Amino acid sequence: MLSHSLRSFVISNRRYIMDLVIATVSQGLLWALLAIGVYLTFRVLDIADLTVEGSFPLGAATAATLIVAGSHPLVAIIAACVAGMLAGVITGILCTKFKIPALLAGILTMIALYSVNLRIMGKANLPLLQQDTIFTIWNLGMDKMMTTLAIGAVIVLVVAMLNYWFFGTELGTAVRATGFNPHMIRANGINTDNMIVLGLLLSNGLVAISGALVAQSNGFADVGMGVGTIVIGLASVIIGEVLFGTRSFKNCLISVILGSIVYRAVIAIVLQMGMPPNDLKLFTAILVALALSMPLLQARWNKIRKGGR
Amino acid sequence: MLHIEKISKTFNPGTVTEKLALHNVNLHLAPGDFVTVIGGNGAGKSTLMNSIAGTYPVDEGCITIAGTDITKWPEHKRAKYIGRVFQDPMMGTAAGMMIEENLAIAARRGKSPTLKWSSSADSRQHFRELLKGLNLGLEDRLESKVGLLSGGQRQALTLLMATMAQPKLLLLDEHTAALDPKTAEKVLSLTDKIIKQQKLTTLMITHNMRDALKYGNRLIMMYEGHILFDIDSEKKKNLGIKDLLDMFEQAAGSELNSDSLLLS
Repeated sequence: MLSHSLRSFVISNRRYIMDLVIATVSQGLLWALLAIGVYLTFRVLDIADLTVEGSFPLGAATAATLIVAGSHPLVAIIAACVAGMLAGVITGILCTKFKIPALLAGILTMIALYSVNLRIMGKANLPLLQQDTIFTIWNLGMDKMMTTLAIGAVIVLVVAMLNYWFFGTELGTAVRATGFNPHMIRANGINTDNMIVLGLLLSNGLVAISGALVAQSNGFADVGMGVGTIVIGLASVIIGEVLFGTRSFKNCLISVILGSIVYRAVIAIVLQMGMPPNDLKLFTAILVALALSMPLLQARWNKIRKGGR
Repeated sequence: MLHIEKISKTFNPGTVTEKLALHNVNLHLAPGDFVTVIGGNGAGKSTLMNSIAGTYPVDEGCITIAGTDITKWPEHKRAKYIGRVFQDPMMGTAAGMMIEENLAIAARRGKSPTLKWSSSADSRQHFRELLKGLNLGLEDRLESKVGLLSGGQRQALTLLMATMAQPKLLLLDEHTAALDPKTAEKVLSLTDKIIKQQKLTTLMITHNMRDALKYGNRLIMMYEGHILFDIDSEKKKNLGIKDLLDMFEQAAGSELNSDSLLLS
């Protein structure tokens, strides 16, 4: 029996499964900041911002280089955030002041950042093996996995609360309204260009923090680690929205964080089932394409069913 | 209050689609003037309004509001003085945000946004009272998303948003054209009430001649990018639709294409 064999597998591999769950949730938390960043551009500003593919490794490269140079890991993370914000501002200026379409503006910054990241690290891959990271300096007497989980949870909680606060202020409300209806917000006296730049700044700052955390957790920064991050972010946003709702901004924030964790769980499960890791990006792309075309497919399906009746 | 001196606007200059939309238009509004604007399609009504609001710059001329030259100001900066309601009920509000959030943005029109929390118990009470004045039952739905409201409710809300921060000039661009006749009537009488209460200087475009005669103290007719005639409140009182049509024929030297205007 399937259920019987599953149960005996679970019982005999209890320790292994526990570790897998903890690792999955921690990875989900570290990547959740990327997901929130993508949510801020894709949903709040209504822009598909490809800068993230450059600002994620930018955060990793900045943090790793600083840590190797002897900086405190927390300082390294803050520096990574500032670097990501600068990248966001550049994309923002390209698309508002120079009227370059947002998608292309993001691609330009992303490509430019590839060279910038190589310059920062001086090589394509920078290991952090014997270095102090945010996950080793405060181990609180726990093993490495539990520490990652605890620190990841604290950082995500703080970032989520800061986001909730900011997007409830006058300024934050104006950024959200810009994405919903730029006409309305201009008619109410707010410069939409500034709001778009601000949104991109915040988004890429978060994405860079995510990159800095993932680099420290994995033990290296790599110039290629940004490939596909936009799709991973989108997958987390969409999974979260579908499973956990979009009633309010607070609800959306929580959904996106949980979405990132569920995405990691899905990946862990398909890898366990024997999918070759090289196919992961193909799998994620298909997942996102399906999710994005869902509303249309659903409408078609309903029409066909009605027609058949 | 509003002084428009010799403004002109040409769209797509130098191309086959070149269109002279405004030609040497002069218009002066005294404080408290409520001017209705009529004219056929392509007469330049909306171009006039968008030029005042700053949606695009004018080619020539100058626009002054309350003594300040705003000709070179960007759209968002002019919003300090100007409240607007658009023809499309979707344009004036953010559908994905709560009624309360929309009102909070409008309440601070023209001020730069700060890091203060956008709504407070005080402001909520104030919004509730304002919404009560609309008589639409919206005062109990502060936390509803605006996207859930009907077109008429959204226009009434936009009207409230456009007027709650006491604009020096109110621009209404056929703001009832997308509504059914009964709702349009309601929103129009609400508009009239608010304008009278706050003594707002107003420019209202309408397709409906009857409304143009019924509301406001002045009426201007536009034709081919200029103001054909300007009727003051004394003359307007005793005017009928027939008189308007006659005046148009005399001034324009052609018959008014009545398809583009509603006569009743």
